[in-house]
Amino acid sequence: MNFLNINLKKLIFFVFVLVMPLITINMEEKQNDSEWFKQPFSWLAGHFQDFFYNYSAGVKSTTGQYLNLIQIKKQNESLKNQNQELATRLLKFDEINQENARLKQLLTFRESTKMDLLAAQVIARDLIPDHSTITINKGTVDGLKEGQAVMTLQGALGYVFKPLQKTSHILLMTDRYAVIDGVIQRSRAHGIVEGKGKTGAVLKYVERTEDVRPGDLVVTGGLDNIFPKGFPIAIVESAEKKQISVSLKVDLKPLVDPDKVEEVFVVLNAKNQDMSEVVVPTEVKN
Amino acid sequence: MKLSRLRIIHGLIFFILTYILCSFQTVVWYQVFGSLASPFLCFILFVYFGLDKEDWKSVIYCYSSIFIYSLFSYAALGILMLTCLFNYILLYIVKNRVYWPGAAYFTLITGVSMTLFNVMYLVNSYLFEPHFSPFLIWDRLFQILSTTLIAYYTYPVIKRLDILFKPEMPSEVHGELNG
Repeated sequence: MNFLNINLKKLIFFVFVLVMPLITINMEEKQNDSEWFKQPFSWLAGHFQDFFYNYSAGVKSTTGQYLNLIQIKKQNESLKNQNQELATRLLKFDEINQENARLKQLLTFRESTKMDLLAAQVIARDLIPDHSTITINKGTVDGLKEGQAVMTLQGALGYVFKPLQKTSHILLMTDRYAVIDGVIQRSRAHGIVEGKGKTGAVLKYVERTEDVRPGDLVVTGGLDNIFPKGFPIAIVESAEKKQISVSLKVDLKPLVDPDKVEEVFVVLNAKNQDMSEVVVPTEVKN
Repeated sequence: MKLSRLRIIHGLIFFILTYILCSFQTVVWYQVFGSLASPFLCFILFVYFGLDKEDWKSVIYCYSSIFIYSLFSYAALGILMLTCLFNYILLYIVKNRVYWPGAAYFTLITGVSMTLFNVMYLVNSYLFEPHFSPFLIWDRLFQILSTTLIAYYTYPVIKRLDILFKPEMPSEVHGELNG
């Protein structure tokens, strides 16, 4: 029976809504009395908070690390560039130092001899690999002529075969067409040094009776009118007496490695100097 | 411009290109790689002309290029000419029998030509020179392989250059006359 025509459900709901804060206020006033039922919820809340704290701390730390990484990457890039630049500078510095030392040696050698020498730099090689020739950066305008000797501090290298206006082609002593008059320094046995390919040479026409041993130094004989007398050419690698030949088979190892030559001297005028008094190759000295 | 003048300009450009390639091979390669055998760059142009041009043009170019090679080497002009002649004959025979345009064909023929060049150079040197050429097997092998490889990549560049400077007169419009 509902005399007042009131919705009972709604009324109960409103009453509950109004009473709830009152009950809560009442409970808060007496905290200690109602702790027992709060505890599990507090425990749960604590764990939730802890979980979220750890989670947010983790996210914060990861983000921080990521941002830091970007910074580190930038720094690393910059340091790498700096390092590379310094390494290049150091390399350049070493190269200049070495060049300086080489040029100093050349200068000392030039001053110690009475010959007219012209320093030049190697700029190119032969087009075909089986010919041993180089091109230097000095030509006829610098006074170069065909048949002038080309040497380094270590020994004879070759001679000018095609001088052009600003460059000259040099036939190296290792080329199969190159011939130089040579003498074994110790026994004064005479022969002709001929190239035999990329890095080797042979001493031809040495009489069978001559005393030639491995390790002997071969110097220029001076009869070819190209090289001054007594300039070192090569070391004897092996000397063999063949049964049917009238001459010895002498293999030579040139003192100058043609692949590593960078600066050379062109002998403009030898002035009859005997080089054996001036130059003693380092390999022989040791 | 007259057609003959355009032809001369075209020839001159390839003449200069041969010079450039020879200089690059002898100077730049040496400065960078030292004593390592260099690829025979200018020979790629030789093969290109031998394969792609009419007979008279290819003969003129091939002989003039041999002359340029001799300026950069101590190798005897006669030996070079004879060696390149064999190569030219090979190219002539091959292009008249099997030909398909493209970098793959060009690379293949360059490899074969380079091999023939080295073999014929050795044979000619053995037959005609007082001091014959050393074998230098690794140097030759490296040169053949590197030249063949480079040929594949340079072919489009050479082709483009060739088309760019092709001696052609501007074509006339026949539409009105015919129509």
